[in-house]
Amino acid sequence: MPTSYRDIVTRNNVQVSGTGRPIVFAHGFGCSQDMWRLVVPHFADDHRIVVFDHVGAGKSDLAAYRPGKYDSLDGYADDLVEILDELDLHDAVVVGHSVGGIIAMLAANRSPRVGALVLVGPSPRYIDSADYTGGFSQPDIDDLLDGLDANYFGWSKAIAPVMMGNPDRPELSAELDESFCRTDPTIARHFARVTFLSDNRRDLDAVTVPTLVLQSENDAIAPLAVGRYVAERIAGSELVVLPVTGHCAHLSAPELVASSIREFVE
Amino acid sequence: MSDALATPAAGYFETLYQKAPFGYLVTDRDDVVTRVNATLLDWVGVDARALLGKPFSALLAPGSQLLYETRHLPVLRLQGYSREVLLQLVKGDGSYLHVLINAAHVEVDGDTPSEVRIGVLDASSRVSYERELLATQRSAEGLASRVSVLQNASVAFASSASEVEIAETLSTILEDALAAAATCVAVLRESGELEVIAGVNLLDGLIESDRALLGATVLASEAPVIVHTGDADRERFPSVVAALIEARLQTVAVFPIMNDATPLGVAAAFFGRERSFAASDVEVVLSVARQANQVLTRMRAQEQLAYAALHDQLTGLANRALVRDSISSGLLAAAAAPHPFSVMFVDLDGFKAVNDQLGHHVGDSILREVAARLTASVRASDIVGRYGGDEFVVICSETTGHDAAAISSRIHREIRAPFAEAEGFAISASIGIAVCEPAGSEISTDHLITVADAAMYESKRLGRDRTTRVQL
Repeated sequence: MPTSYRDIVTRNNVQVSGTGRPIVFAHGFGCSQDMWRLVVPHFADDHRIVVFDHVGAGKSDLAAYRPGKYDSLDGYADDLVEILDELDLHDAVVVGHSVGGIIAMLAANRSPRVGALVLVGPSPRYIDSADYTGGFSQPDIDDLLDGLDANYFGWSKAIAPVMMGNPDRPELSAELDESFCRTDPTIARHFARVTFLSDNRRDLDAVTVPTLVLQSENDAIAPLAVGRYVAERIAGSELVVLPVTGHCAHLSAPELVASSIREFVE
Repeated sequence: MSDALATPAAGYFETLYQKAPFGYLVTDRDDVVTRVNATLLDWVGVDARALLGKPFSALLAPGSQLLYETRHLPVLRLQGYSREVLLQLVKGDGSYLHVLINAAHVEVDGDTPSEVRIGVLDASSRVSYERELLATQRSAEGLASRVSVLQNASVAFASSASEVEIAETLSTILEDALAAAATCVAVLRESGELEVIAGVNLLDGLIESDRALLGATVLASEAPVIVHTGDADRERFPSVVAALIEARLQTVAVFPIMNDATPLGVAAAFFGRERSFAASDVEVVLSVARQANQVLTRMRAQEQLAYAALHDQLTGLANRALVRDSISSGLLAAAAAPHPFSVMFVDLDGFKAVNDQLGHHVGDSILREVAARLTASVRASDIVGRYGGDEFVVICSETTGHDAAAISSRIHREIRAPFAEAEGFAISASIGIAVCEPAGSEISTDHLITVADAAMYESKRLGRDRTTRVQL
């Protein structure tokens, strides 16, 4: 168990900047805190901004990974609660994307330091059942896990020819390299299992803080019906449907996401 | 040379694009398809209208869609490009096509929004080959990890020296092997209760009756029981499910620890999400539990042997070897402290007559009764032993002659009381006490025993049923 500030900051590669009401960003499956880079600047002037990597992602401390702890989203939520405690944050706005939103919700249900929740494309349960539509079946998830393995296979790299032209995007080029969305393959595999096989619907009922659900109009991963379900089950929450396609509104429409959060918080 | 450099005929580049030996498509920044070449349409078997204006991800199989949206698109957006991503496209006829894609964000010119160009290679044959390798690798990894769990278990059990240590080892191994939030091990006591002796019981205090019920179910069926928080189990184990929810857990799995057909206890594992277990996982758990059982059984047998070697079979008291051992160590401790030390020899008067006239089985029963009365007469710290025949020893640490005399008078009173099975026979005790006050290191065990024995004979000589005390 990490005991010191340094341990927790290193474990989750916690980055803190600015002053004002704290706003904490939790990334989802598949990427790292890099995901928030287009949204974060919108809060730089008047917020204390905290970004971090879940264990296994980005520049987190891989040595902190223990299968038992991270076999459920509670283990990840424990880390987030510890970050809030260590930074002594009060009335924090916690913004979570996808599974990061579910983790943020679990932390909010446990820590009085969370003052508001923003859930971007949350899904409390991916797999369909008789009375619920998550959008996916168990075989779909098995396919994803196969796909993960296939994509992390070393020999994939050697075969494919480079067919594309110069991929530079000038506005991003300076600091971009292969390290984007870095994840440890073994931990990613387990995280995928935990993300896509967990069922946190019941936890929605326990949310008491003001909550904003930001939903893409067209999202194959967390469909509109799921966003509605989340908003209905969280008492007093607000659902905002963004005219956006895809699961990563904070990357495809960062201004829209930022202004929606601002409107909600202010 | 000059021909190759010449400007190609009109339409050449169009054909180069449409009939390229790979699929080629363009999307806008929101992944919506704006162009697609004939090769890809041909592979997928659909009309261009089915693709244009729709997200590329809509063309993907659900598993690929998850990977594409959560992993590939963020990387592409942040990094500007993404390479060698393996995906499955859904063809017009519903079947899947395995493809490898490279994608790049490209600025066309200053005024037009950037677009994403995606190259698509048919990867069917290599994917089927890779799938086989993947399956082989997974099965090899699974096997290796099961073997390593069992090997580590045997090493860890070998260095476990007590019941609790074995249980702790078992608990730790299961926690790692199953990726459990916590595990605990409970052993079945003679009372029929399960007692948790290792690990963490996350349901402790929350369920009393049903925990026994759960354990009892496992022990009765000799098979694992897995309880989820779903409706199916809510009826079977209502309070377990309620307790799981209360403890923020979603699964508890309870495995039997068996010694052949005899249940020794259970191991429980707790999980924060709904978990199911492959047959191979269950087999590993049961194998490790069997190892724990073997070590435990062997250790208990050794303990029994060790106990038998030092105790009298008839009365359960310390035997001659343990008596001598206890006197030696008692003498050493007394000399080191220093504090006084007393040893008492107790010989029955009138026992031979009982044995001769009423038979050995009555004699044996009297000896057992005497053992019980002696044990009741002394203090908890005193050691009572049977030295042989009808001769008993009481070892009293930190005891002066005066205190020893008080104990011996209690013994006289107790032994004098009538024995139900030997009505009409008078039985009493002749006692000899050797007292070291204070104890000195020069006194040997043999000497002390000789003196106490001689004092006992002095009591016999003086008329029995009395105590003779000798100060050393």
